[in-house]
Amino acid sequence: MALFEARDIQIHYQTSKGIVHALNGISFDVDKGEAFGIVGESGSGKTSLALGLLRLLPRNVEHYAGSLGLGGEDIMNLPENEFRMKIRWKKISMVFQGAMNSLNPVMRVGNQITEPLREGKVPKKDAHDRAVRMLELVGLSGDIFARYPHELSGGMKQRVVIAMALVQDPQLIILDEPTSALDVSIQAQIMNLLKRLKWEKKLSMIFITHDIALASDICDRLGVIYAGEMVETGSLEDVLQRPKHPYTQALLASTPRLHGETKPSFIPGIPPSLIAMPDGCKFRERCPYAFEPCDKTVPVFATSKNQKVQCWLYGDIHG
Amino acid sequence: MSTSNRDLAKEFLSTGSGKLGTALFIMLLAISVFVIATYPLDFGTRIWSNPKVWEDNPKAVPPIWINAFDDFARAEHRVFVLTEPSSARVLGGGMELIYSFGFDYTADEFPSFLSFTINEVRYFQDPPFVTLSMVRPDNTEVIIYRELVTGPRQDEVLPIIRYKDSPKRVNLGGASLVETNVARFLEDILMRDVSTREVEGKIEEILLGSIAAGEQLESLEVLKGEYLMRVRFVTFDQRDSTEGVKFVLGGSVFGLMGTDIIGRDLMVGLLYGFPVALGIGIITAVLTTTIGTIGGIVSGYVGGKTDTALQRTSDILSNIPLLPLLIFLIFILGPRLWLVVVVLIIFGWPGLTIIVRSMVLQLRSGQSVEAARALGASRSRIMSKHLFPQIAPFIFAQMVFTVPGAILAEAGLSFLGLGDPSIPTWGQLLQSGFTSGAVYIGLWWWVLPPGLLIVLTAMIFVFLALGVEPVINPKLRRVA
Amino acid sequence: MTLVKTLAMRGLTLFGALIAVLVLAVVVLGATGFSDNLLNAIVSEELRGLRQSLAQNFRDPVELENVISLRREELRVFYGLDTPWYFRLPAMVLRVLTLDLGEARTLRSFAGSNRVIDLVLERLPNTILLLTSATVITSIIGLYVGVKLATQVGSKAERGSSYLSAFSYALPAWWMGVLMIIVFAFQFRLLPSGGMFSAPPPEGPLARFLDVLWHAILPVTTLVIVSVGSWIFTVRTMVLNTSQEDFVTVARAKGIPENKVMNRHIIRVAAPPIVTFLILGFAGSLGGAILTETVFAWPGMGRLFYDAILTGEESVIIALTFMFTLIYVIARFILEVLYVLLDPRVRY
Repeated sequence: MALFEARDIQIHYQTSKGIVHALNGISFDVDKGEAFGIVGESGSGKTSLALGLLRLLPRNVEHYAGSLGLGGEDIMNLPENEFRMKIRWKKISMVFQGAMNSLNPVMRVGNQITEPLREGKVPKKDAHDRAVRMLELVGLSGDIFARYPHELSGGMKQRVVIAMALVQDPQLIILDEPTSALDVSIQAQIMNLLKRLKWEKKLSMIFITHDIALASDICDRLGVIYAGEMVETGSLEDVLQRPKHPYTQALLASTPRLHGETKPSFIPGIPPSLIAMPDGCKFRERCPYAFEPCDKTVPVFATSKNQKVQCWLYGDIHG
Repeated sequence: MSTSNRDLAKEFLSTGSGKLGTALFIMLLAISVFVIATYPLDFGTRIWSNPKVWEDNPKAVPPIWINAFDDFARAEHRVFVLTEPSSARVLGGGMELIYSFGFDYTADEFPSFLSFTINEVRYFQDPPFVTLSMVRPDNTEVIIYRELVTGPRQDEVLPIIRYKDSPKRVNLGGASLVETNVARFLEDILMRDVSTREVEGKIEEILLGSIAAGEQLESLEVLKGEYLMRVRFVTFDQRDSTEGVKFVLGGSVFGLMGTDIIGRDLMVGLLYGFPVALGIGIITAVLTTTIGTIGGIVSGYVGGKTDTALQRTSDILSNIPLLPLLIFLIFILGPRLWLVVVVLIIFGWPGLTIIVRSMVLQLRSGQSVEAARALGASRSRIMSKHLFPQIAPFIFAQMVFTVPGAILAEAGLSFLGLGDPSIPTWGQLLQSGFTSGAVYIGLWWWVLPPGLLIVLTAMIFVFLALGVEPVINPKLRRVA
Repeated sequence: MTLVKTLAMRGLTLFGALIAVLVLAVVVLGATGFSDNLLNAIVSEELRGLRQSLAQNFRDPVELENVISLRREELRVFYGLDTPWYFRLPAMVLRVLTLDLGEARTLRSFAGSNRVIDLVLERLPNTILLLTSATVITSIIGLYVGVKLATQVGSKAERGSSYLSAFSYALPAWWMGVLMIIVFAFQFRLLPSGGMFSAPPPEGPLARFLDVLWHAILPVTTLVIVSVGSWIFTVRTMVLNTSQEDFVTVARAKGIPENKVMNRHIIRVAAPPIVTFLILGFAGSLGGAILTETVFAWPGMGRLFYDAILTGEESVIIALTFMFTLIYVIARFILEVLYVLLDPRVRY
């Protein structure tokens, strides 16, 4: 049984222009020690998913449904207070997009790391020691504890944020674009750190990014999101080598490669508005293979043991 | 990304406060234009501060419309101006000119005063003789007043002109001749001796009161009904002429806004305040933002010593509490409105300069500015064509926001008695109300309206600024 | 060390502002001839005293006049009246700095002294009392309501707060005071219309204290009403802006309870900009205090300002201009220190 199961997650927002269907039934599993990558372009609903998993959605959420299981326990229906005390950070923690803004500017970074421990009545001394250990684990000196965020570089802040996410030994850690605001060289350092942590601490991760190449660096399995739907999931190898969904194919074709003949191409058209959502495949307007059944709601077809795709092109295989 | 200014204007008008502010602003403007078009330029000195003009108005009375709030009918103010005689006939060697008029008296109280004014009189021989008499609703007749026009001085050239520049005004309630006449009138009705002492201070009550034999003079009832007034000129030469007479029934309510303690029609003063307040606010705001913006752009773009000097100056000037210094300067240099505006500008621009500078510092490394520089645009061109347009909407909001500050500062200063006496403002109206104790005896019509107008005018501009702000600063837009 | 440097820089700027006001005042006084009149008045005052004390010793009036005119010349040189005003500038600045401005013509202190310094210093505590109590009450209400509104985004009260702020900004303290007097002192006769003590003042310290409190209700309420609206709005806006920051979401993700998120991650972070607003608003409240004291005949420096304007006491006006600037500068410096303590970012 998977460590984490998300089934049919739906998130809709109420805005002045109408209801935004940010997520429309997304399902995936994360096994213990596994890194599951969620890849999609901006606006595809990745961050909503991350916030939804921790119940941190903004006020204007109009509809949030689906089921979430962690270690066999249903966490979707936990009362708010219990969810806060038992799940947040203890079992699922998160590294947010943009470390620059993830730290409180007027609080010493050490206190920000120990804050959840202190909330759980861990003695000050123990909490301090644990924070220092975490800082050292992410490659920082323990002296950082008493510093303020503005005294640290971007890379250091990102490490602090990772240390903060690890402080309670969570079962699952969500990383939302953990390197997007960093220089390329720092980005590589952080990726190496994450890989080391994953290996050393057997971390289970949900790695959210728009960069499929970056995801391929650390993930075991990938899910591709388009317009609020998970159009394809599969092992890293399957998705990268044998992409099934036309969107995945187009996404991979648009990624520049170091070796190889092909020039990167671009995907024509723009993603559909999330407000007036048509039935059927959301990609069909831009899809070179679009054909008659595409305007009907698409089920998920399994193309192999590990690979699933939401596209009518593969309908016959299942049927 | 860039939205045109027209789009911004449209967006501004779509906000609630923008709409409200614009509508009220147009109203302010319309009133101001009306006042500028109809008031004389020297209104302050020649009319407002001249007690002669307001002589015939009741003092410190509330507006007419308070009559609507209860059943008691307060005496309205009535003025009768007669320029042409109702009848003229030859009498002996001269003329008899009669001015007659009437009024229906319905108020529940006596008039606050009665006044009679004789305008210019010309005569060629002996001075004419004037009589004012009244026929009351009960058909009794009173001769109220007699006047022999002042006689000629030695060697005075004919025709002799009297009461030309200062018409002869008689406050009937306080004239001893009237007291004598009224006492005689009473004697006829009451059938007893009446001394002038008895009627002193009660002239209005007796003349318009219902009096029967045996009546006490202490508590007279108003005699309602038609009164007929007659002014009779008897001249001794047919060439003699008069410019007419004026008779006033002093009310205890007056006009739409009441009067102050010297009888000034507050409506007139309040209206005059509109263009003045608007002028102070807009002139100060435009000049302050112009100087502040130029200072900020120059400081931010030119940099170096200019920058340091401008910033040090701004830092110091913006750290000075305005009102105490304003009081000091106006006290020493004299209460002149333009001086107030100048001081407000001098201490107003630095704040804006500091903000504009920081905006320019961000913009100067921006692409459009870099590109213009690469193309060889001159410094002044970059500042005026590339930097200024980008900050213009923000500047506009600041300008709108400066207006109420200036209006309130002037009002505060006027309230402390440092207002420009030649230009009456709302603040001065309030100040005169405050110093004459209107606050403590409840003359609300004197102190409430000017304050309300100040608040309202200032608020219109704050609303405009509030409407402008979210248009300019998307960060402030309400998250849905 | 840089902390000290930051504060020193701020202190220097504020001191610069103080000196700028003084120099401006002295130049204006000099150029308009006020300074000559002022010093001449001081000289003749001293001579009058001298004449009185010498009158007993000198029988001969001519001899007395000689001594007096000799002394007059001495004094004129001493005060620099023999030179144009711009040479006296530094000395004059110093005189104002020490409030050595001679004597008032008609105004008297409560104790009967006519020395300007006595007049001003006697009023100082009353002004401070009014100003601080109004500021403290305003801050508490503003913080409480502002934070409350920020947690109710979209509610009627929250939307209305911008209008409340506009109203409050546009409302002059003095007019508000006039309204308060009309309503509470004149119409309902609930509270005294002005002054600081009843006449005669009650016996005993507690009774006197309560009496002052009783008289302070209207002026303090007036000051609070005219400034609390923009306070509430500012606090609301700052708190709202901060609550949309990422680190607030992070704090929630960490499982921190909502009240601690509010205190530690929102209010604490929004505190420095709120203090900035307090700094900027202080000048306004100073002006408001001058006018409020005037309206309520509160025997502070503001009312003295008004009385001095009415009686044309230039030396008192100069002293008060300086004192108000001084109070402002000191208060601002305190707030700057507070800001530096609150925001670690400016400390280094």
